[in-house]
This record gives sequence, structure tokens and C-alpha cells, in this order.
Amino acid sequence: MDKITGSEALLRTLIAEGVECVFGYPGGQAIPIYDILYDYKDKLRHVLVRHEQGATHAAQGYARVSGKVGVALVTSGPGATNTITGIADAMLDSTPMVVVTGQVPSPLLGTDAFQEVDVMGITLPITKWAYQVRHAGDVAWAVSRAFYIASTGRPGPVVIDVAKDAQLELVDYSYEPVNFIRSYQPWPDLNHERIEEAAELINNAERPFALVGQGVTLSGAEEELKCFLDRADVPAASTMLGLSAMPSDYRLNKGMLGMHGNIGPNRKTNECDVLIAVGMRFDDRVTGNLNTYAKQAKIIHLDIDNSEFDKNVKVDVKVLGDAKASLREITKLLKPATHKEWIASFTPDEEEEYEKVIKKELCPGDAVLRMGEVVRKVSEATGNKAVLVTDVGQNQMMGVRYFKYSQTRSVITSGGLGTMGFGLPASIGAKIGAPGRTVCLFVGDGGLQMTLQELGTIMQEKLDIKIILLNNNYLGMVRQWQELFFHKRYSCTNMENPDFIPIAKAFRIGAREIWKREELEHAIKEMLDYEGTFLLVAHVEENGKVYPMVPAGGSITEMLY
Amino acid sequence: MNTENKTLFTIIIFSENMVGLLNQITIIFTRRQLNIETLFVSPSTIAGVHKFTITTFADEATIEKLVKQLDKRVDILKAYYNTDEELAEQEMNNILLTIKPKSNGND
Repeated sequence: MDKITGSEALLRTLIAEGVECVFGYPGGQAIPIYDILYDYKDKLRHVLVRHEQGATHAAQGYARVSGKVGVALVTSGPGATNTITGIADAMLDSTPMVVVTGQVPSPLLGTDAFQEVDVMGITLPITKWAYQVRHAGDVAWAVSRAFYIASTGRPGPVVIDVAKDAQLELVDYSYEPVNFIRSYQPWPDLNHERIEEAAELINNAERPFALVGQGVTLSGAEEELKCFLDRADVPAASTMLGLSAMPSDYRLNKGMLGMHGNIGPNRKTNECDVLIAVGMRFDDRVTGNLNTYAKQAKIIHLDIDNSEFDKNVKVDVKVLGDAKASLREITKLLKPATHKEWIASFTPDEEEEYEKVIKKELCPGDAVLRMGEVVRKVSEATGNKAVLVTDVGQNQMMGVRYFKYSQTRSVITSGGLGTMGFGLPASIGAKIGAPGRTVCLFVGDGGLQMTLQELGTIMQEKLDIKIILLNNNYLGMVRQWQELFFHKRYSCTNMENPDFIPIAKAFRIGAREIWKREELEHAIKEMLDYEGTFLLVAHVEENGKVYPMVPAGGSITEMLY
Repeated sequence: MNTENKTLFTIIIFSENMVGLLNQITIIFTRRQLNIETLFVSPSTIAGVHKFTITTFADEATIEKLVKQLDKRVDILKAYYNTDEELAEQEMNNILLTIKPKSNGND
């Protein structure tokens, strides 16, 4: 057998694991890997980002849209520390990602060598697994184990830190996929007693209500969820990351939960008699004040992660397992039911929300553009088939509220960590992961400028992304809190912005800006017809606010609107 | 640390022998502001498996969550907890168990 270097073993293992695309940035302690990559460029696409944070967010966008593991490749020291935000983001949002970091040669470890940083120490709290490779012989095993851990059970990010001497050392290469780890059980066996208890509660429920989380998408349980809801006639609402697991126009889909969710789902959480949470983790943005959350209901929690049970909300029935299998087994035991009156009771809330919130956002009386109407018009112009990518803040809440979804894996947004700057690089990964789909990014003027340099990546890769900048010259979400809760003291939220059109032009990206409603439809058409990436700058209402809103720590039934 | 209204719990962890495992364990305590009172690490009776014995003052709800977080780590085989009283009882049982066969054999 011919000996190969650890670097080549790394690339061969990535290919063996089915990797087609790597987002990365070379540097001193990754040069041997990049040198071998030169010979492998027809087998492995490398997307050169403009900052390592962008590599992780792009890998996240790629993973979220495709269901495959996203891969980032960076150098040691600053290269590695720049990936931290993306790794933490992927950890909180259960995104399968493998980050390969270069590291100083192992004899120099612990000597404060040039560009040395304790990658293991820094990343352990924010990874599902982290491992340092010091011998070329460990490369294939560690990388394969990384993919197994990242993609199975509750997915998450894994870091593989490869010392430079391990990259250069020669090794007899043999690849054996890791598909068993004795200390790790990714898919727990179902407990049929719990399944029966859950089914019995649902069968006897008069006002059942389901909460749909990203777990449904991650487990590919969209169809099982629909069968389950249809059979027992259970209305459902989703968390932000769970959006698009059910199509927007599905009769039992009652919208989104939480701080900026829909009025009906929030109120009904505190009126239902049985609450069925599927693959969601009762985040504080979903529950509001826990002391007033669903106290009247029996709660059934389906999750693959045992540590989520009773973490925030005490539940009555814990169904540990993969959502797909759990839903299928519970559905088998369900009696067909109808809950006509209960489902109809959502309608007054929907009408109230339309009258007091949605109408003002979609058909305002004055001339100023609203964020919501821009989002809805773009969604409609794509036939509600596009992938929605958002940044964080008002653009995100308006994006997820007013966009419509017709297929799964259509929402790419930073949920748990709330990372401003996520949007632009994530849209790069989303487009590469779903080249056949239209990708629409909604971003604010603050977040766009956090990772603006990734326009260079878009230019080099000749991607086709539709970027809609909702520009209000403010850090809008913070401004909203300042207006509502801090006596309108707008501390450090006003932004003097550059002229974005020449910036887009400089990156050879199509661009247009609009101020008026009359321009909107035509501008959207121009953007969607344009071949390649297009930046549409929509100058929107300066003091726009996202409603309804549950103030932080408040009860979910006490919404401002 | 104010240990009033808190119980001393003993947490037992069995893990693979990997670099950084102690670090993985202690950050889970740190994040919840729990002080480790005592810590004992040794190879277990099973080759390749290490045993951690950790004591800490906390309330039971916190310990339950903490142990679940420990158990979740990929390279941890098993994590569980006991109070001091439970452990004393367990040790008594162990003594009884070891004595019994001997006396039976001699009778």
C-alpha cells in the first residue's frame, strides 16, 4: 500500500463521507491540506469565504437546506477563533457541521507558538464533540467519527483540530466508516408504555394542541407529523426553526409560537387540555414566563435528547426517541377524531391579528414602505416556493412571519444564538446546498454590514442569491425595545449607512433601491428576473415595530399589538 | 458558597479514556455555578473505562439536569447521582453481600 500524508487522508475521508463542498480559508497551519486540495479540486469543491465566521455560517446554511453535514476548513489561531460564533450557533440550533481546524505542530503545543490557541479548550463547551489529531494514523478514524456524531441523534457541530505534523506525516490509509460508539446511543429505543400513555391522553383530549419544532425536520418526519395531526385532528403551531415542516396553507397549521408569534397559538397554549411538543425545547422565546405557561394542560414531550425533558417545563409524558418513529407509533394507537369547535376557536384570534397587526403591515394607509409588505410580496412573487434566509432582528421576525412556505427545509435563520451577520454567509451555503431553488435573503442594514465581505465570495462563486435589504438606518429590534421599554432613549442604535448600490456594483452584483410602494412590484420582478445575485435595497419605515410582541419574561397570553 | 438548604450529592461517571474529558465534565459544573467539593478519578475495573467520583452541594432538580447533561456527552458511558444516605446504605449492602457467600461456604 502506498503511504499518503495525513492531509491526503483527511481529504479522502471527507470524500468517502460524501462531502462535495467545503467552505474554508487557508492559513499557515492548514497549508499542507490546501496543497493536497490542489490535486483534489475536481472531487471536492472549495468555496473561499472572506472570513472564517462566514465559512461556518455558510456550512450551516448548506446543512440546514440539504440535511447533509456542512464542512468548514480553517487554519489555527485566529482562523479557529473566528469560527466560534458559527460553532456556538450550530450547537444551539442542532445543525450538523464538521469544522476542521489546522493546529501548530504537536511538539509546539502548549508553548504559545505562533498562531497557537487552545482550540479544544475553547470549543468543548459549544460542540457535540471535539478532538485533536496528533498522528496521521488517527485522521481517518477521527474524521469519520466526527461525521457520525455530527449527523446522528440530535445533530450538532464537531471540531477536529489537526496538528501540522499529523498533516504531513505519512500513513497507510484505510477508511472504515464509524457507525457505532459504545458510549453513544443516537437513536434511543422507544418505550411503548410511554407511547401508549401519550396516545391515551390524545385520544381523550378535547382541546389538543401540537407544538412543532425543528426536530420534525431533522428527523424527516414531515409526513408522519401530517398523518398524526390529521388522524387526531390536532391544530398545530411551530417554533421559528420548525417553520416549513408544515406548509403554510395546511388546514391545521395555525402559525408560529412565541415572542413574535401569532396570537392564536400563544393564547391556545394556555387553553388547550393536552399539549403535544414534538422536537422542540421550550425555549424562553417560545414560553415567556414559565410560571404562567400551559399550567392547565397535560404535556406530552417527544424528543430525541433526554436532557431536554423537564429542563424548562415539567412534562407529564416523556417520549424519548426519534420524532419519525415516535409519531408513527403514537399515530397507530390514535382513534380518528374531530375537534371542529376547538379548531374554529382559533379564527377570532386570527381575525383580530389580521385587523390589528397584519393589515397595518400589508396594506398601510400611508406611503411609507413596511417591512412586512416587502417580505410578503417577495414570497408571493416566488410562488411561495423559495428558501427564506434571514439575518437577526426585525428583518428576521418580519421575514419568518410574512414569508409563506410550501416545502420543508425552507427557513434558514439563526434561532438559539441570534447571530447578527448570519444571513449573508448562510445564504451562500443555502444556494450551494439547493442550487435549483430560489434563495431569498432578508437582512437589515446592521447585520449586512457585519459580514458584508462575503459579497466577495458570492462574486467569485458566481452565485444567484436574491438579497433584500430592509433598510431603516437603525438597529431596529434594539430600537423597538428602547421605544417600548426604555423611554425612547435611542442609545447607539441610529446608523449612518453607506450608499449600498455602489458597494453592490463594486462586487459586480445587480442592485436597485426603492422608497415607494409603487416601485415594489417592479423592483421584485427585476430582482427575480436578474441572472445572478441582486441586492434590492428597500427603504422602510424608520420606526417600524414587530407585533405582536410578548415582552421578555411576560406571559405568552399578554401580547402587545 | 452558601450550602444552606443544599444537599451533598455524589455523582459517579464512567467514561472513555479520552484527552479533555475532565475538562468536558467540569465546564458543565462551571456553567451552572456549582463548586466541586471533592473529585476522584481512577481507572475502573473495566479496562479502558475511567471512573469519576464527584461531590457537590446542590438541590436535586439542579443535580438531575446536571447529570443528564453529563450523560449526554458522547464519550461518557454513564452518569448518575446519589445522596450520602443512599451511598451509606449501598456500602452496607456491599459488605453484606461479600460476607454472605463466605459464611455460606463454611457452614
